[in-house]
Amino acid sequence: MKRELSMVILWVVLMGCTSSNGGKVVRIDPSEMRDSDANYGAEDLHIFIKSMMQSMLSSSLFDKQKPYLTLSEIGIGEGVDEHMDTKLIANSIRTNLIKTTKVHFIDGEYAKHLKADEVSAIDYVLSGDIHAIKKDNNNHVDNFYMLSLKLTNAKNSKVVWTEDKEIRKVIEK
Amino acid sequence: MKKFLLILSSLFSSLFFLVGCQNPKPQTYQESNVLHLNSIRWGAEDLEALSKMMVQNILDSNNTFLKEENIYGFEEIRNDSHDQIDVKVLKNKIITALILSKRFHFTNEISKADYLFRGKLTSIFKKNSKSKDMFFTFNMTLTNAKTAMIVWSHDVEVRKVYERSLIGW
Repeated sequence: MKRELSMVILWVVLMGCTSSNGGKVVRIDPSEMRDSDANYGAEDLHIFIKSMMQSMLSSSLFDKQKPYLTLSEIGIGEGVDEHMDTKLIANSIRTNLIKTTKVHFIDGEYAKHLKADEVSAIDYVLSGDIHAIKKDNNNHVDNFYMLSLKLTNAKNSKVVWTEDKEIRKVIEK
Repeated sequence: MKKFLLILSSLFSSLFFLVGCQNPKPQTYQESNVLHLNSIRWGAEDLEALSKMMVQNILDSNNTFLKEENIYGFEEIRNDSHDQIDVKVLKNKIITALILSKRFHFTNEISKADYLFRGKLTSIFKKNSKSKDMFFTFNMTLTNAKTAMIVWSHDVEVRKVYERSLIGW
């Protein structure tokens, strides 16, 4: 019996040796919907961007003129306890808007180095907030994320467009 | 039954000893553009993929900023990812590829540039008991130095996942 046991142990050791890395790394399509857990991931970023772009472009806000936009901050709400790069969300929306050729974008940081008369007057400022409500108990994890964005008229502070996108992920333990 | 188990164990042991434990393997040299994924962290493959996709998009742009008389500068690439990354390599690879295309003239004096490139590298990393998931996204913009208008912007992404096998550690 001892001999059999030692053979099994040897087998397990050798199995470990043959696959010392334990798994493999593969490259996948970045837009693949592949939620490995309920936390914020690439899928959520893509859902937020797609939803916000659809809403903004269907608003007919950019149909008559090609306005000048700039980015403001996307704030992080108190419920967010994980690393979320909100500048990434803002930059992605800016990239997508520039690609539509329906708007002009002014680089707000760079514009600070120029004289006021060298920079075109800003029509709209894009800003927003991201919020999270997270629950974790013995039975399940329940994560809720909400991105709110708005476009504000730079001259009179009137909000001309706003949209919320909610994502909720529940995982049974 | 005991005999069968013994034979089976011996057979597997011999097989894995012969096949699996011949490490360390002799060192081999890889071309930097050969896909050789061995880690979920930032690697040469990601540098290669992101720089190549970005340069391709710049060169494919039919934008009016692509004029031979323009002077371009490259300010910086911000590393906001989870990894320690030498972003200067990424910046240099892009500049080299653009100069080699013979359609871009670069200056090291930012104040003399007509257009300025800027970049930001970000990652989203997820880890649980079964897998690891690393998503890198690289954003670049080109800004008119005289008007602060962003004339071009593009995002490129790579994503790698690591899944644990059932056996091994």
